[in-house]
Amino acid sequence: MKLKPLRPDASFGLVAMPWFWSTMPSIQIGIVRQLLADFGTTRAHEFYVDLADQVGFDLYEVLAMDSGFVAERLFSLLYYAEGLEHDQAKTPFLGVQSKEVEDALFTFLPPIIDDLMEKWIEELSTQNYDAVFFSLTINQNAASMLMAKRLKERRPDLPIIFGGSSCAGPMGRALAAVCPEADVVVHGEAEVTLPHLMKALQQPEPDLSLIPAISWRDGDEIRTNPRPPLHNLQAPRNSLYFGDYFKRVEAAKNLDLNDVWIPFESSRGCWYGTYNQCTFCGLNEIITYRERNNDALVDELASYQEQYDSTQFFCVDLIMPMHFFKDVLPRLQQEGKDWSIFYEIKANLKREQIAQLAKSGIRRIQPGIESLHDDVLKLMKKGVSALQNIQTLKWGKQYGIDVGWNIITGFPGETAAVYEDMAALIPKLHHLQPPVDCGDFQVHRFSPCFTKPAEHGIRVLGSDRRYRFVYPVDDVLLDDLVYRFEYELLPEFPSTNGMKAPLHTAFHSWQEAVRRGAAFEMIEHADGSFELIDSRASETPIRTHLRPEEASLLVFLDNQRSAENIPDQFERYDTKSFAALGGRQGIQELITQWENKNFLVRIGSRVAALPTWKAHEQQTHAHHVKNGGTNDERSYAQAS
Amino acid sequence: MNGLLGYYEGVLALLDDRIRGGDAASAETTPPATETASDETDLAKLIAASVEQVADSATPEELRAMRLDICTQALGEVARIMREPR
Repeated sequence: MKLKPLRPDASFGLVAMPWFWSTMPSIQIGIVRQLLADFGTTRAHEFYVDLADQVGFDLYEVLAMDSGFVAERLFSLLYYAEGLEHDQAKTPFLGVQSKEVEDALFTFLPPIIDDLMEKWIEELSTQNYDAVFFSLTINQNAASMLMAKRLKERRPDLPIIFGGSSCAGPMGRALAAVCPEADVVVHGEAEVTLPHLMKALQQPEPDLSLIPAISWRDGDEIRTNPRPPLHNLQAPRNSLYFGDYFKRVEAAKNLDLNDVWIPFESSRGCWYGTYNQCTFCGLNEIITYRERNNDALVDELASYQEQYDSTQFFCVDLIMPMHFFKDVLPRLQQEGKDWSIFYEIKANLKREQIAQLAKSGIRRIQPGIESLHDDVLKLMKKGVSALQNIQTLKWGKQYGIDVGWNIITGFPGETAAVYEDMAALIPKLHHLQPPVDCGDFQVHRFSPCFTKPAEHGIRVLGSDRRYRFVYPVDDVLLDDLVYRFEYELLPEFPSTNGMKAPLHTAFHSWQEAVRRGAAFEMIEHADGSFELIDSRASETPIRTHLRPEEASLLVFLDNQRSAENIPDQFERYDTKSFAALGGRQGIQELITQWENKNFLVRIGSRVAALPTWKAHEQQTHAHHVKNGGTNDERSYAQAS
Repeated sequence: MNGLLGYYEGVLALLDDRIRGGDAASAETTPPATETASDETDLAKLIAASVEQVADSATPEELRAMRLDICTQALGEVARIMREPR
């Protein structure tokens, strides 16, 4: 289709289809809205909110967070209509809990989707837009394709533009091929492409041949323009507008505004991955790390709070830069707001850094723990140790920070021993936050495992075969279109299939222990004595009295240390307690005794204490701000 | 599908048929009383009563609204199944 020039007073629809996370406005839509401000008026249509409202938050989120085969197929069945029919008997299990559940979803969700599609089309049609932009990120391909098709049926001349992370790299061109209703697919960052694209579309004869990072239709041919350097993020940006999302949630019957998280961005890319990408990490070309000028970040969040009366903020960054502990986080702390902020971080943090996170309102983190075994972490090139991961879990618990993490199983190169080791370790950790899930390794596009499979012990076989139940296209096109791939291990890498049972058993026991409130705390009583209260193994806690010199050693071991150096270091740290414990020999005996009682964990040559300190959990955010930290924080700082 | 979901499926099929102008046997909507727990049976009876009430006289819009209602209720049951410990 030949694109018509845009009117000077053009209006644009910005659409986010299911299955974007229902508790969050789309930051992608917010950014595009700001970029289009010079070219016309805009309105956001975050239709995913309506579907979540209709089917219920819990069910919606399961499908949104799932790998997407069911979620996408529910829409692609309608997109392809006669080209893709649902036959219950011939459709395999696609990954959502059970075949019975999936059969029910394919029976009862399509009428709801069909009904909502009619309403959504009506909503868009009444606006008489000059162009409609779609954001494609979380399982949003098929729904966007369907909406584009229905829009084109009504208005064949309506320009439709796709963009988002699902369009990155070759996926963008492939999407243009499978969805002829999309006139332009942007496969880079919107900031780089949209200003050029919009200027071109304003010309009497729009010429797309020089617009960066797009795939577009030139007659029957799909042309792809190269991607220029990445956006540097340094240009000032005002706070984004999310008002259309909030209106939609307000109108919903079953969604709660208190559940909403407002997205914000302080950087793009990954400072660690820029130089040392984790082998499984499927970040696309945007992995190169760039930061915004964050001088006004706190003001931006405050403006969101004022505008939307919300105090929950979700940072979409891939990793928090370390300098934030010196500049941005202290500013957040000084602000003294009762905010809840989510951040992705690297798990090699010190105790005082996690304390700083808590004092700054960071209540949820995702540290990318992935494993509790050093051998696997090395294979992943994670750049952290199992003990660092455990310390992050411990200090997160201690400071009231929710730690979201998973264990990746079946990693190429691992041995069966990693499952036995982790299964033996986990009962010692029952007082800490368990993983959300233990799931098998996947090969993702853009990851080192995908681009250099032989180096990582695998051979990539092609796209995940379940995509064939979403897109009835040929294998070559499918391989370009999708994100997940099938693989087989090279002969020299033994499979650990069938050997994971000890870990799964331990994982379920861990979840059960947390449900019953398992704890392992060290409490300092008013008389100066210390007590360990341990309910990791049973509901009836085991209480252990600690003499002050014993407590001093346990506090000393709160941060992991080389076992060999502990006596010497402890002697310098607390000479009096060192002597009271019987010197070098007494300390080594006590460490052995504590290891047997699981007060300590030893991995390799290093040892760390496991109890949390009750005193920390009782401190409030305000108390921290007022008093500059707790007594035991100060004693820890001295110890360090 | 479990008893209640199977029942919802039957009701949905009947409504689809009515929407298309057909006259499917109402026997498909009989609640599986002997196979379900009492609360499920009560719910099934309520739905069956609603279906019977509108089946002959409902407008196409009413039938479509009821179809959505049945699907929404069925998905509530699906969500309940998914919450059960595995």
